[in-house]
Amino acid sequence: MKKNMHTFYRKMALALLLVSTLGINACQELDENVYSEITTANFYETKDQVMAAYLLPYGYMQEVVYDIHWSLATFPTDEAVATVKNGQGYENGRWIQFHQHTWTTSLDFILWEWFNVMRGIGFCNQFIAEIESRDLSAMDLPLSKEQMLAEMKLLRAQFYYFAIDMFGNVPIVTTVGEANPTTRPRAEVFAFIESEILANINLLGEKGDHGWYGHFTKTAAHALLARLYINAEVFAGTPRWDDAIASCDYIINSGHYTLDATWDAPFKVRNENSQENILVVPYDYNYATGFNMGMQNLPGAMRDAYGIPGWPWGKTVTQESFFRLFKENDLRINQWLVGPQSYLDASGNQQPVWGWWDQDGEQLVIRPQIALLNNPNGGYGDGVRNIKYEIERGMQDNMSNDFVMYRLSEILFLKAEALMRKNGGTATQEAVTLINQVRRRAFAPGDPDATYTTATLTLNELLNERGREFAYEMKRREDLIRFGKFGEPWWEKPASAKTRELYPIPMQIRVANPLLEQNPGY
Amino acid sequence: MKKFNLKNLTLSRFLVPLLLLLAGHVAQAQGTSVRGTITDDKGDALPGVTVVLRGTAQGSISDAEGRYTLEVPSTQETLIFSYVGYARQEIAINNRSVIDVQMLTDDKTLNEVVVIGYGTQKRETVTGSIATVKSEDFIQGIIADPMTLITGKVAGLAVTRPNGSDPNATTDFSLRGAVSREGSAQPLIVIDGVPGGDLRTIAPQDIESIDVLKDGSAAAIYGSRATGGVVLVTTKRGRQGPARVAYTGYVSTDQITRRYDVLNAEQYRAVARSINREANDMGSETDWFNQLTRTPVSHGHNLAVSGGSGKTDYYAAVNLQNYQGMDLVGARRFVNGTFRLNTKALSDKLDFSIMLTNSFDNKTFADYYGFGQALNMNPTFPVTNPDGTYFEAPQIAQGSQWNPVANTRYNTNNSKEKRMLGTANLSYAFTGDLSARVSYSYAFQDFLSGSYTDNRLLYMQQSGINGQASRSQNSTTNNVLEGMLDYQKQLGSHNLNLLVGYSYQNIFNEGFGAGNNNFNTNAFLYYNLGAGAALNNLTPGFRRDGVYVNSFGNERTLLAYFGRLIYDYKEKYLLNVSFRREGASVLGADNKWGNFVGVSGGWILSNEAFINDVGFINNLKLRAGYGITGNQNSLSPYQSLATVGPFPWKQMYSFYGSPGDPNWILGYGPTINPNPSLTWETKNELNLGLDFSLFKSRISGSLDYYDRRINNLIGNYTAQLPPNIYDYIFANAGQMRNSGLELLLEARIVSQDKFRWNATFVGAQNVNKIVTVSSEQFFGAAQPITDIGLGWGQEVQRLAEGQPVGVFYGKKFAGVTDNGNWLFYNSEGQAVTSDQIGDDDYQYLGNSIPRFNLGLTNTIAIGRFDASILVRSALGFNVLNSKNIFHDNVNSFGATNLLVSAFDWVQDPNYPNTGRPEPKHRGEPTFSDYYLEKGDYMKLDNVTVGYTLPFKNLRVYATALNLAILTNYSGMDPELGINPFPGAGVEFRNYYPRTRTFTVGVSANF
Repeated sequence: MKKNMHTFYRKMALALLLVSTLGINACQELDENVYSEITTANFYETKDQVMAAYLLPYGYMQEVVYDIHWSLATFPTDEAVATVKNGQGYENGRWIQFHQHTWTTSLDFILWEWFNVMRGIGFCNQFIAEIESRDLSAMDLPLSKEQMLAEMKLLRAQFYYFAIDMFGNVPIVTTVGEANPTTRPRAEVFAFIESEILANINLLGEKGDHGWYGHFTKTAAHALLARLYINAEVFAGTPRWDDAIASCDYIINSGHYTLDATWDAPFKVRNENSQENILVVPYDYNYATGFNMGMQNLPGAMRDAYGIPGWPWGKTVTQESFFRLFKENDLRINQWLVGPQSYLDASGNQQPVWGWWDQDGEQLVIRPQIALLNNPNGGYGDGVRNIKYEIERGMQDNMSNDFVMYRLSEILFLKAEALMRKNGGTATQEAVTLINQVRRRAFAPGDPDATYTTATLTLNELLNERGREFAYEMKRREDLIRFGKFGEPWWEKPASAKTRELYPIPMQIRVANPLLEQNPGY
Repeated sequence: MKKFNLKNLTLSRFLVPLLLLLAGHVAQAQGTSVRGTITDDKGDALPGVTVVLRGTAQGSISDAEGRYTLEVPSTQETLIFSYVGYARQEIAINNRSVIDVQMLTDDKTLNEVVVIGYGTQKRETVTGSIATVKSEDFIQGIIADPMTLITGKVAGLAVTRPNGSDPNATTDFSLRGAVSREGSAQPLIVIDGVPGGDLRTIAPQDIESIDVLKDGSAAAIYGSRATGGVVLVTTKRGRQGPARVAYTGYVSTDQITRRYDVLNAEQYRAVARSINREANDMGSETDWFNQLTRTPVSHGHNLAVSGGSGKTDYYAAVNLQNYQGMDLVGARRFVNGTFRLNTKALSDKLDFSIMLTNSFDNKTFADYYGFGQALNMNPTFPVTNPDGTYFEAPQIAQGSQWNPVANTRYNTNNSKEKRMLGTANLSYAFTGDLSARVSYSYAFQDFLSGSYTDNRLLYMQQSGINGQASRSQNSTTNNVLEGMLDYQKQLGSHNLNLLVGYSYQNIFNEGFGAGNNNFNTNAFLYYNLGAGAALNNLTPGFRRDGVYVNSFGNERTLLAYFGRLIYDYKEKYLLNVSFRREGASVLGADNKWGNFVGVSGGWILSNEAFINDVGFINNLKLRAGYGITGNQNSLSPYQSLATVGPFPWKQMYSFYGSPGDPNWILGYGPTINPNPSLTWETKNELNLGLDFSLFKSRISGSLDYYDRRINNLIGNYTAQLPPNIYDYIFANAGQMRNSGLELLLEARIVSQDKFRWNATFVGAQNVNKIVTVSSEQFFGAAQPITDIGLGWGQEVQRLAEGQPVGVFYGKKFAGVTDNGNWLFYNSEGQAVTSDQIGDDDYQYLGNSIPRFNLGLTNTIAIGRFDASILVRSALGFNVLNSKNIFHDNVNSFGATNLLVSAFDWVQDPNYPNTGRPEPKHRGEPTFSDYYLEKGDYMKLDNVTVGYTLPFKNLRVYATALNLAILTNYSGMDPELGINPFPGAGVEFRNYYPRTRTFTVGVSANF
């Protein structure tokens, strides 16, 4: 009996031993091993890694500006409209809502804008947090850690500029992952952007430094400041005309920029050679895709004229009233495709462009008049098309023209406007000179229309001239708001409430963070 | 080793044999032998029956003539006779030396053995909520997904086929309501004891039985992943005796049940004329849907050889299934080989078994977009040009009228899938009471996919991509090692079973993929990627979209220790306690371990004297259980880690350099929103149950009530942005509650020799509610889900506090304006146009998951004929036919065709043949309750009629699946998804048509 019990316990012990050995053998830490991932703890260790991290937020700007931000800055204005032609392009009524200012809190493009802008801010925050605490001195970086951080703060300020412009009252977040941010009033967002720029501007590089192109330089930062100040009254309630002038002067006096000889030089496929552009978002048909303005604007029938392998979408046209701002003798009228269309074929012969749909079998004729916003059965040639950004023969969907954010012309305009505003809305000679510098190149030598006088350059005329010079450059919405005309009725658009000057905080965003306040009127 | 010896056996006759069984080890006496003959219910010799001396590993197996002999230490012992498909019997020797036994087919008698996970238990003493379906009760006919076998057979387990008879689609199932906000928390599949298996590894015909652990107390032994319940699959094993050969085979075809009535050519022209649109009339009359369908023929064969002699038995089978979809290309060829062997050694103390099953799937995928496109196509377009090429009209409607037949024919999507499961089991009986078991299994999956788009497809030519091929491989290696000790003891009236164990599982997933463009021949398909010209063509302007390479690897590990005590006193009072401590690598560093406890008890009232006297009660048992289970399975690895990499959605290069000196650098940044606090999702469940058997067991069944609360719901939530970077974050948030009732009722209505009629009813009611959706990790007020194609931000359902999961949420329809625009109610109850609708005006519009699921199976045998009829019903839910939103909208005419029902057809002499089409509205395509319908349905789901031929063992049968439906739903079939992802109760725009399936089959045994 006793022996039996012994045997039993021995066997029991043996069995336990067997099972637990298996356990120990197989037992391992539950820490995760990564294979196709790398954690932040093991990154930022070499020069190339730090550079790749520094460059990502810049690259992300490609995703942001075109075409979501561009669309939100453009379609609610009188300069562009995505009409329905032959019943095509209705797209759930999105473009009609933009045109008529009837968008709701669930419109997808508004949500995408929020995501894009806030993600851009997040990328900058992440880089700043990871790099600030690291010692990079042994890495032989082509630019200093301080300059990298300053550039990221400027890039972040640029994203916040988009946010203050579109949504107005937004949370101010400078770290990743700290939950439940609350809405800050627009004036506070303004103050944040301003202080960030001022605190970091002296740490930036300048045009001509290695790696300057497409990145925030001191002059680019001043261009952002000038934009911020010219809109200060809208954003924060207090005008800052002198500060705007000071920033413009900094750029003008820097000597880094001169006006290009022709009005269209800043928009060429090879516009990296422009002497006028201060900050661009570099695009490339291969490496940096997403800029497809040509596809958006050209009618499909034009594909042969440009030797385009794809089929242009022909979405965006321009409202007639806006086109009529351009006189025949203004060279800038050439940014519009209008009239009967033809092209030179490979052997140099003039060939007509054959129309489609309601122009089927006829030469394509583009008319400034747009019959209907939602045209069920026609309208193929209604509305002029913008080709300001040069369309290369054989263009792909994605173009290689760099997208212009700031250029010297705008700086001259901003200074002139500030001078006029300070002067009670009347032009000073200095203002007239500034505007004429830019306008003159759009006219034949000696053309009397080439220059303004203090009498002809009214504020209203300045708005019109801004329209001519900066068409399709994401300025019109800001301009109409600043000049108090955004709510006015225009073609196929009734008067709209002042609250439409800000987009709503998208419904989905407020569902995820109920602490965010909705803008008035939504 | 003195044992208790029960002397006082003065109980009723009913209890005598039972208590004799309980006596267990009686004082050891001189060895003697018992022999006998075992017959089946028809009196024929039954070989292969296992005879075991109770409480020991000693046993024998009946030979070809049904004879057995067994050495026993005493004639006071008890023998256990068991055989798959027959009721287990325990018979006290009672000083006899010859015991002849007639085995009765198992009609779910009390002695049924239930698989409970890491062991088995008699049905009578089970205290959890466990359902068992034996192979003879499975749905018959063509089975593409083994879960279909038990459709409508288990109360509380809802199984639906949202993609109809697509041979490559899987079923959608949920146990006791939605178990997770992700919906991906499917039941844990345990194949022959190996957790985490894939049902597609095995052939449906090799399954012997399926047990479902429904409640928390039963499932807690599996801890992690058990929240969705546990499905225990037992495959067939060999029987003692000469080799038996069994063959089953079938051939089957499908027929469309319901189709969409879109405008025909004449109606299309009428609409174009009435709304002043160009019809682009090409003069044909094409039924695009018909062009995309065929009459499929599928067939399947299973050949199994099994047998055994002495201490070894074996089962081997090969299975071939050839499925054809009713679309033009969908197909699946499934080949499976299975072998299992059980043997004993070391004086029968060592039990060794191996199982190896290997399946190969060759899948060609259907084109769901093609069916969606068929609803868009202009009916006046021809399918082909006179020269035989496909007709295309790229200039119309911005290219949206692409030819779906061309698209289906010119796209090849294929996946070759291998699934292997190998298991070795070693168990050793140290004593009659104590045994140890070690099992190791290795499961391997390898998917090799290929896709090719023919260069003749118009888009390929327009874009200059000119043929696009890609290939990818995805392999998963799954290692499971488990060891356990099992101790059984009987101390007088106390029965005790103690189990302790250890489990380790590691899953490694890896793969790679590549693609290339520009093929000057279509002959290669995806077999010669290098032949594409795009890879090395860096000419500016050359399309390189499909040129890519990628590879990946990830890993997850689970570790667990577990224990279980099963105890009963006189088989009257039952107790089951289990515990599992489990760690999962995918959770946050400080939260990897969780504890899962299950406690349940039972009281067999019918073993009490006061009930025993009630004549009509044969069995009555009360059960109560409480258990905690966990879920981490819906998490991908590495979600708690801050990882860095290129921008995940696009190859995005950043510029660094100067004008004329470009340098494009691939930027690196955060790739996810990490959440270091990720922890276990847990479910606490209370289960109360009653099992009964009345009137000589003619009526039996069970009734269960459950209340389950799922805490720390794991989900991919819309992240707060800012402060996060990406739109989604995996997080634990909120609590969901499911409560309900389940009823199982079985009636042996007629039990005569020539006429048997059994009916089984299962009914389940489920009330689902999200108690909260926010937590320390996620702060949102709700979570929008289900994009039906209207775009981001216009999701039609949400997860919201106080609402059922997947509740419809949107605008409330109020009418249309005079010019046909939408009117919706705002929060003040006024009817306003859609631009006046703000966030506060959205409303909850009804649940999308059925509240009631019912199934009734009638099994009838008359002479040599047998029949089985399953009627299934789901009630109490709303469905959305999103096709209506897109195809009742005149604004979309031209880009899409429209439904005939989108118009009122008014008599008008100008439209003599069709009537003048008056659109029912002219508003933009948007979701509102205008489009919601009641989803209630009742289906004649399965009808089988069989005939057993006069010469033995040959049966022929015919089966119809999804035969008829009773519903008011306007769409194809309201049997839609039942989990919140990708959308419960939603019929999507791109789809697979529903069919009824007819099968004839034969089964033969030699």
